[in-house]
Amino acid sequence: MKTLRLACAYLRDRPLGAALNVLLLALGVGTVTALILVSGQMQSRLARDGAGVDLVVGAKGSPLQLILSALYHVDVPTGNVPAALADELAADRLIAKAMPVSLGDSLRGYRIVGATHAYPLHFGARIAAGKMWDGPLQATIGAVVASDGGVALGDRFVSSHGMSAGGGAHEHASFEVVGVLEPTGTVLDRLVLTGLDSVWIAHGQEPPPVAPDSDAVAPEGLEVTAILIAYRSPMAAATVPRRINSTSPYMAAAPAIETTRLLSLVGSGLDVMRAFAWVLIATSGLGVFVTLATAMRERRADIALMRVMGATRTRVFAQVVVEGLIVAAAGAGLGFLLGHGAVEIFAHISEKAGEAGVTGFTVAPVEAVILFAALAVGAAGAIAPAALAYRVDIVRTLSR
Amino acid sequence: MIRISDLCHVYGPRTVLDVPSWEIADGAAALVIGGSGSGKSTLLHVLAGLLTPTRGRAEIDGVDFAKLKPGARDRTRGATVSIVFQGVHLLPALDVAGNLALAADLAGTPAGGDRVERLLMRLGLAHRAHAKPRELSGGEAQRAAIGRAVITRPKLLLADEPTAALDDRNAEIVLNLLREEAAQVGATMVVATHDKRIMHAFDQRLELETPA
Repeated sequence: MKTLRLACAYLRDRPLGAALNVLLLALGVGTVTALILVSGQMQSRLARDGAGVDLVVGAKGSPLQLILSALYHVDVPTGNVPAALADELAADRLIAKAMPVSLGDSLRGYRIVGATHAYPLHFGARIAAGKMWDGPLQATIGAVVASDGGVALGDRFVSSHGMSAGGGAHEHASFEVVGVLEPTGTVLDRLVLTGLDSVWIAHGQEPPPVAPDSDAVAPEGLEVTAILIAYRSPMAAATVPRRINSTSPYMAAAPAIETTRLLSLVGSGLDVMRAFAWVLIATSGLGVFVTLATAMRERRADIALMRVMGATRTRVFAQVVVEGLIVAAAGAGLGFLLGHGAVEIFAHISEKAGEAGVTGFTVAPVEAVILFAALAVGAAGAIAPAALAYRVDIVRTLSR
Repeated sequence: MIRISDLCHVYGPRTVLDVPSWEIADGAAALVIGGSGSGKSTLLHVLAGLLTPTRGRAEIDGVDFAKLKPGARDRTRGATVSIVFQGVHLLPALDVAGNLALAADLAGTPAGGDRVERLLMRLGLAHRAHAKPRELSGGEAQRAAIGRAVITRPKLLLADEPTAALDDRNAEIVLNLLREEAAQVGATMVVATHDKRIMHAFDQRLELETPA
């Protein structure tokens, strides 16, 4: 009979203690796994959504709010800036791209973004069906909007004022869906894209036509929400934000700085939860130790009998360590499933998490470290009880 | 062949075992008798390699356990010696068949095929193969312990007071089983007892005296 089968038999013989240790370890592993999955996916989503955008220029207010609203589309805008500012910035020799965006309306909770074609092209968008908008009140929708938003190519809709469902409708401006984008894995998938002039029309203004593929977008007196900027040279990082913030009535915010600040704010909470989870894992190691050490006292005669039957000291030592490892492996496995299951459920019940593309159906490489750590905890908890087994005095034990 | 010469074991100031010489032929059934404290169990422990004597030699087919390294001693014991105790010794986490299979595995003679089933049938325990030791009666448990001892086909079968806790009928059954199973596997049998009911059934006997 192999060591593994005998270890399983002993664990089955005292199921409550084994189950409690497995559960404790599973909770710890599950919590750490879930935190790593969510934070990792959020970070990578932030990186994808902000890729290539070095600076966001908008109305003065909170820099973080400006980034969250104009780049990640999860907050309300800080205000508006003149559309002419986009042309002015685009003319700067340090700036490669200046992409204006107009926000403020939505369709069934999906944000409508007025932009030029430079914006979707920056994120590598490709048309899956139809075409890019090329006239007033035409819209090209992201892949998620097409699959989950209840609108399809050729449909007409009116936008709602505000960033979430339930705002007043702009009944006078009926949009037509002229294209659907392929999935990009970025925030673009959840946006309804249209021309800047369409947003102005929806808000009762009568702008001159703006060619969607034109860099010059600035009719006098009209505004956009923010301008996304890509630098031509790294040198720009040292001068452009400072110049805008010190010499203009507008605000320049760097996504790299603001997202780092955001992650450090959120990160401290995550660190506390992560520490708590590691305490759970360590506690389960202690549980393995207590359970096995108690069992060893009751099993001295069994160990002595195994030795009589020919088991070496090393064999009985390994026997006990394997029991600890089985508990650890079961706890780690269950924790893996719990962690991934919890993240998937979280993604379904939390709109924000769903929007951010959080999913439990992915494995982070660092999870291997968690599983290894859980096994190490199980083995460490079993070492001292195994040493007790190793040192059992056969004759004295059998003579009792 | 079991050969003992000038065997002596001392606990502190007390000599607990003193056997000048004794030889047991292969396949014989030998009896060790003596009162409490006469060293019967100590002799069995020395023969099984569980205890290194203070002086002297105990050899099984020329092998002296005291001369082996610990790991080799354990493995050699598993392969050549089995012990039946007065207090039944079975692993409670395993069922009867599992206990027999484990003994065979540890002895390096894994119980392939239907060896366990056939042995349990001979022992009258086929219907209890999947019972845990705590579910067995005293007689069934002792028969299972005998099965655990002989499944390894040992050269030497030791029994320490195997019938002391049994009534006459069960004592007879257990003694017969021991003899039959030892004969079946060709084992030399050494039984230590002070149970007068079974003393008639042995080829050889060694009487130990309780030290003063």
